[in-house]
Amino acid sequence: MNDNKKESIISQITEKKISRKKLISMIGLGAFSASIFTSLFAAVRFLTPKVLYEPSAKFSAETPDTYKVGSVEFVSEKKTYLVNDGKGIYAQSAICTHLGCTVNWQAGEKEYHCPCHGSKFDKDGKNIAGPAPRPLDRYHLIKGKDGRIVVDTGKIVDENARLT
Amino acid sequence: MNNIIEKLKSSRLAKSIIRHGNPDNDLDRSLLMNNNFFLHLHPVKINKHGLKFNYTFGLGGISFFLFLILVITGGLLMFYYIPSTEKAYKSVLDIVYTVPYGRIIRNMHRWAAQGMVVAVLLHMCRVFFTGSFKEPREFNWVIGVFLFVLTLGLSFTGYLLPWDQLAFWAITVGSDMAKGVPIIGEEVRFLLLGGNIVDQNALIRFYTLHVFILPALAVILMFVHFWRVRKDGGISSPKNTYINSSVNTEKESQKKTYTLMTAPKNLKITYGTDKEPDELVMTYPNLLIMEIIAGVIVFLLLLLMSVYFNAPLEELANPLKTPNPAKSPWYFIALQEIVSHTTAFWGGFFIPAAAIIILMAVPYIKPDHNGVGVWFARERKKELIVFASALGLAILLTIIGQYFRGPGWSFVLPF
Repeated sequence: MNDNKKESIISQITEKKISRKKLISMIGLGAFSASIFTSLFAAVRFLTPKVLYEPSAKFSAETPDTYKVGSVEFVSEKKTYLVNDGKGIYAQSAICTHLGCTVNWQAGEKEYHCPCHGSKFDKDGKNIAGPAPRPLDRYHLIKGKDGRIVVDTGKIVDENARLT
Repeated sequence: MNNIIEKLKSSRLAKSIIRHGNPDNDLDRSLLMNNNFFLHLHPVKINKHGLKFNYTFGLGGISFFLFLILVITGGLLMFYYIPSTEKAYKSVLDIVYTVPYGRIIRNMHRWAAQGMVVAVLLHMCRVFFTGSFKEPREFNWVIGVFLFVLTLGLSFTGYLLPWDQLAFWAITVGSDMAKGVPIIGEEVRFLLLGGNIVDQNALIRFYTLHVFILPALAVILMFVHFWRVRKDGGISSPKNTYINSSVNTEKESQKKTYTLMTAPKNLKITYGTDKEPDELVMTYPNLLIMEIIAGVIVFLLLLLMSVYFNAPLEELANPLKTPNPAKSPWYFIALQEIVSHTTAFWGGFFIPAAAIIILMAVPYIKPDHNGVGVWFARERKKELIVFASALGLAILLTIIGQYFRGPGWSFVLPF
């Protein structure tokens, strides 16, 4: 409620434009709707779990020298492609940016194809055909303590980020 | 033998359960409809026009009958199905291969579900093509659209439960389409899945929606829908006169309270008082016998289908591999075809939402009473063409999606 409205109600009360009966019924109605809204809020909040038992967003791939220049390796259980394009290694998401199906690398055409709605991405993950609205995501990756690459699928980075 | 039946019928116990006599006279036929809880949905007398099979094709009744079959077969399946990502697929295999008659029960459930989608769709077309959505039945059309959406929702949540490849990728795509909702898209998806990924939480959510929330909503709306058919003057007919003024009837209704209970006060339909006697016939046996025959035929067809055709079950869900092509069931193919040309916002939110809203608005767009109760009435030529073209477009998209789409959703020839 904005201040003007509040003031006008207060002035109406002081000038006795609102009867006692009306005021009480307004309070009652207000309390009733407040209880309805809090209940609705609680219901929606109840359906939003606080603790999720989902697998970690981070995973370890192989050591960097596994990924030779020009190779496109698929880590299927993490839906991630590890690509070495000569400039370095990057982790490319295999989740189609349209509606979340897993894209397949077509070695012959050097493209990623989505089986669900026919989106196509070039070798850099740029959307070139179909309904996909943007390029495939790139994930943050670092060299872990044991020498293997650690990919964080929870962190999305820009297309120039590479592990060299 | 007859003597025993007569004695049983006149026993105190029988009289305490059924209070009317044999329906061999009009009074007892009326009481049968009025006093029986399960039959009181029907009026005592019914318009001859509404009884013609080729006017309604019994589609609304068939939809409800299929829903009843779905409730019964679904309840049976619940004894064996386990909504867990590890056990769901196994329990469905158990139902199909080890549970006695399990295969037939599951087949019936699946085919009745698809049959209900067809029946509801055709019922909607019938109501449109006969102009039956017009005043005073506008709001019942809106409830009908809600029921149509619920039917699709029940189908969608249902085919996710076996946790096969179709199930997994349908949830994946379906929940990603929820992201198309502006501003709160991510939150809607999280709420649907109960998490960020399609997993146990998502399965149990769709299960709860399928076996409790959506059926409960559907039952409530169905009862309102049926109740309003009665309150809005029964099955539409060209002879029902609609008088758009409540001046005189208002006063009349204060004197005669039962008018309020039978029809809206500004609707000049009263059962039997202003009609020629030959326009109305007793519901028992005329309508009841038709309902029973339609029910038996539908049940037999369904049973035959369930014996000879197995409900599809794909491989166990594999989150690592999207099937290629990944096709939705036929009633969502048109939507998939639209989505394959657009983003989640347009295909997953805007176009479906707009289509539903326009469908609901149909009776309010052009408020007239032209050609009510007549199939393809000439007076309604324009609106018939618009509706038929929209329908044709949906069918065309379905055919393209179903038969002309191959791997990677590329255009292929079906042979």
